[in-house]
Amino acid sequence: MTRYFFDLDLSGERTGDEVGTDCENDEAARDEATAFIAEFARDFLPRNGDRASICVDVRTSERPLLQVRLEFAIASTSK
Amino acid sequence: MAHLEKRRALAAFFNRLEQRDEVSDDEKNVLVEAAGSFKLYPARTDMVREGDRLDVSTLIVQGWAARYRVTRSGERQTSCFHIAGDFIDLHAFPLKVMDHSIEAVSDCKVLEFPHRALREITERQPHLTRMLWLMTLLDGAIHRQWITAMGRLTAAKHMAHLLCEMFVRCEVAGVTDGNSFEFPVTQQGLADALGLSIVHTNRCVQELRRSGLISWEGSRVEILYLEELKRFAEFDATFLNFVREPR
Repeated sequence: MTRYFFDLDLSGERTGDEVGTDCENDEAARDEATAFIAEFARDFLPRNGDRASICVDVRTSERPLLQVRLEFAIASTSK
Repeated sequence: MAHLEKRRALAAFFNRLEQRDEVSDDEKNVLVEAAGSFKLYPARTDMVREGDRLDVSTLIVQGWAARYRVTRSGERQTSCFHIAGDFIDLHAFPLKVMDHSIEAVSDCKVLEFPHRALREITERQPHLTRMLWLMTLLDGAIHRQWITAMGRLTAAKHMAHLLCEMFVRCEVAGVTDGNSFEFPVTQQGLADALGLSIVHTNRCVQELRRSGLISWEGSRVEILYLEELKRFAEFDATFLNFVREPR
């Protein structure tokens, strides 16, 4: 088990993960980040207007690992 | 001697009953006499497995347990936590075959009630029978709250709702310490209860901590502002039926 940190960036507003979560390996950390961003979007998007980005930076205490990003936009298609 | 020990072990359960109605000394004695033997389960072992056909029902004397099911892909969903004084599988008596499993979350001490003795109670003690029936209805009420919170509240509110529920229930069971209670659940166990990833679960804990409503160190949760936490969680204790009236 390695401790991974999942820092959140919401349309430029950053909340660092101070505690971290233990994951088996990098792949498990990637799966966790993916599940997290999908769950988080369910709460966040309906409350935050027509445009938003959710970004999760995954790192260990020694190295950055990957970034998961979700871009959201509502555009009118009526004339 | 055994009678006294069982009576003491049932104190939290009697307290639960007496929060909802008067229970006579005779009725308490009937319950003590119906109790079979004590059993210990180490943390993270199953007490009951889905598909089991049991001839006893289990009452928690000490510790925490979780009622859960597992999907085919191996993902677990907990549907209720149980604490001291909870008759966790009274269901097994009329259900016959268990449709879910129960795991000891911490080390658990339980008291087993043979179904034969429960059957006798249902035949001779109409009021006590209604009280036992009420206990399973409360389990159903808790499930309804969990479904609503899971389906309609944000993750942070959902977690806050669970903390309010467990604090209030622990208080009645007499296992709180001021504004604190021992919540012996693992990160994974908490995520399984909320239906969330562990990362999201941890983030909710951090969010509630940052808001100043709770502190959470190891397995000890302290509710710093209960009324504010309840308001945030949209928590209303009505579903726990803390009204003492004839049932």
